[in-house]
Amino acid sequence: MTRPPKPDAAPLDDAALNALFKAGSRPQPSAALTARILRDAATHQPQAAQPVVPERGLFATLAAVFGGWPTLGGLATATLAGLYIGFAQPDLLGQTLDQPLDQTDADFVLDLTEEDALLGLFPGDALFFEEG
Amino acid sequence: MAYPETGMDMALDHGTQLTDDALLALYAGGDPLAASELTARLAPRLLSFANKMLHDLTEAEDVVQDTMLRLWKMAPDWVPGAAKLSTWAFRVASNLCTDRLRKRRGIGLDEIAEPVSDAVGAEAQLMQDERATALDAALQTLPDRQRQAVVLRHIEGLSNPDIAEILEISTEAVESLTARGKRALAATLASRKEELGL
Repeated sequence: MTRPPKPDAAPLDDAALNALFKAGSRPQPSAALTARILRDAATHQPQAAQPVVPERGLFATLAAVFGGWPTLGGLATATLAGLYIGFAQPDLLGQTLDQPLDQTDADFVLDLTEEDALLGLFPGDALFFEEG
Repeated sequence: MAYPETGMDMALDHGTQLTDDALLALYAGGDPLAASELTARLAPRLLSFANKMLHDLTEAEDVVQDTMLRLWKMAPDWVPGAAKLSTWAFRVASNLCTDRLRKRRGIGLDEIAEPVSDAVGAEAQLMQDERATALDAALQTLPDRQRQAVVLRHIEGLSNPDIAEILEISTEAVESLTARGKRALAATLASRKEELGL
């Protein structure tokens, strides 16, 4: 019961037009087109900013050579301690190692020796006798 | 058919949740994946539009590549939020199509190609294909501006203000173009109503 198409047929209504629009062909980009587009993208892409590597200074280089800041800190502390000991009491170090004792020190050593001897002769309460 | 608009939410990785603006910024910053995502979003729509305007897939592909090339070049200068990237891309594609149509006319190709129903092969006998073919042919009978407006509005699903920006005309002019275009299509296809099952 369908009518043959006529040149003067009534125009399509909105529903019919929408059905046509919905069927509108939608070609998909081919792989070749996508490749062309992405090749252009790679050609014109700005370069990513390179990470800035700071130049290492003298102290940082030294720290790296000795194994890091903690090691260098320990080394510095030991060095300062040695310098302090050397400058603060050099005479005591000299006496101990290679200088002769002066008179006062000799008397002190002698007194100690006499007391030790007395304690050796009179063990126990010998000293109480002397003080009565 | 309306396309889902990308939201403003930012995702932690590449994907559909990144805005077009964000993807373009990533591309401009050297991100290697952003171009693929932008191409996947824009190229199919641009190709559909250009193909309907030019009725020539090879030329339409050239227009899409040229549009995307311009997009890559302007990426470092793009101001996020100043305009919609898809609108910008459609405007470029629209202008490129117009240029090609003018050149065609310049060499005597003003005549619109006949509907390609004769070329419909055995596999294209399905109703959807018939309708698509008939629509494409009918679209070619419209003046360029009407065709642009109708395709952008009723096939690409853009809003009238977006189309106005693309075509650089007023929203009222867009409404007028689409209304006249639809009327012309309805009249052109009236004789094929039965054939197309409408």
